[in-house]
Amino acid sequence: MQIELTVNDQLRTVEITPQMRLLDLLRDVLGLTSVKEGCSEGECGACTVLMDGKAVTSCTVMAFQAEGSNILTVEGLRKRGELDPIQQAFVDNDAIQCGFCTPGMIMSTKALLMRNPAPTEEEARRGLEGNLCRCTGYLPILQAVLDAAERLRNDAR
Amino acid sequence: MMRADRPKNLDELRSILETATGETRLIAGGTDLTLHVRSHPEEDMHLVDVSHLEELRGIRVEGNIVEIGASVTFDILQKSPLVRKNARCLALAASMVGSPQIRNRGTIGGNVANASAAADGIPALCCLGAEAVIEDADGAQETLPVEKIILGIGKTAVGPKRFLRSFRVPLTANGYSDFAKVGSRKAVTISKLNLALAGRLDSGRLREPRLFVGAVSSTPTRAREAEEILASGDRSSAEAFLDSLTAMVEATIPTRASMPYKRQAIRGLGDDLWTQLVEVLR
Repeated sequence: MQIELTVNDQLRTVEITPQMRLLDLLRDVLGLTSVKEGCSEGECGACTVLMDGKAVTSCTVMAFQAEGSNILTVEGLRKRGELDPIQQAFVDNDAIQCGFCTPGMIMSTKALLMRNPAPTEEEARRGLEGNLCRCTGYLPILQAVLDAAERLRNDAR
Repeated sequence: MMRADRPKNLDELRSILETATGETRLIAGGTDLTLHVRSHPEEDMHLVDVSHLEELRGIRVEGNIVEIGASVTFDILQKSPLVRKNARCLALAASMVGSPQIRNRGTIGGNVANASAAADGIPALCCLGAEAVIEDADGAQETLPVEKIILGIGKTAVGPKRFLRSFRVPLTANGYSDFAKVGSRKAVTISKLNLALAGRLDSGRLREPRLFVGAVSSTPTRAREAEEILASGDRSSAEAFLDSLTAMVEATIPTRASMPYKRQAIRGLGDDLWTQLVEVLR
């Protein structure tokens, strides 16, 4: 079956099967390998993307359900060859070790900061509670989130 | 074999349901159903997406009822001023389901239809006296108390040719409700135990309390003895209240491996609800 959806600002027409998940559509069909498969159960957050502006685990969305939706992945964050402030904040705060959780963390951060440009640490923790990391112990990630928030607020001025 | 349909409106959904079989499964957020699909690749399934149907996504007040569409997500429920004011235990329960990603997709209708023993939405709806509106392919509706449509784990009275349309929560003047859950983690955890309480505040007491315990039995269980202690308004009977909850767990799941844990853990949840109620009654 064919569906049409917007991915990273581009309208795409994609051939899918009914069993496919949005994760499979993005990673395997469209080659957006920032979308990682961790637990396949919606519990680890590695496959998090934005769907119509909301963070979702793409492993729990059937591909056919994404028809007509607007999907954003890490690949869609980079503008004019420059890293998004969120990406840069993760780099600058050593919030990346193996990197596997990172795309999901970044997309959850994006969703959080879209709604709440000045989160407290508690709000940042709550916003990222659906994303697991086995390497960093989370502290540099939280620092990166709060740093990204400040950078984005400064950019907005 | 798997088929998938995405009806554009309720008319198209009803058309599809006319020829529904046992293979037909309505999918909303899919946070449970997609896992079932993955773990049962041999199962023939006809998935019908209802997550986007506008008629199922509203929250509105009609007379003395708040009507919540079956496809309303947990994220919307936790944020909705109408729900927070008039069905606080449901807003609380919604805020404690899963993670932001799960809450952005999971729906109250899906929570009810999935009928997990550990569901958080179901006891909240039950203690509010909520009714489920079930509609069939001809548009005929049946309205039943939520606790009556939960038949067992994974089983509801909805059936393959009908769909959950909405939940009707009665508005109560001076209504009060609360919810507490405990799981293996502080957040993003399935309930090992939950408690949902609702009633009416009047003259320093909680009148007509309804207290439901979830994740003990296969369906939420009403704790009538504990309710009576609450209704008595006797502030010194906190221990009796907790003892009653413990006794209820012991009686309901005497041989369950988790019983020693649950009979103790329920005292913590009961204490949370009791303390909060006393605070509000002051």
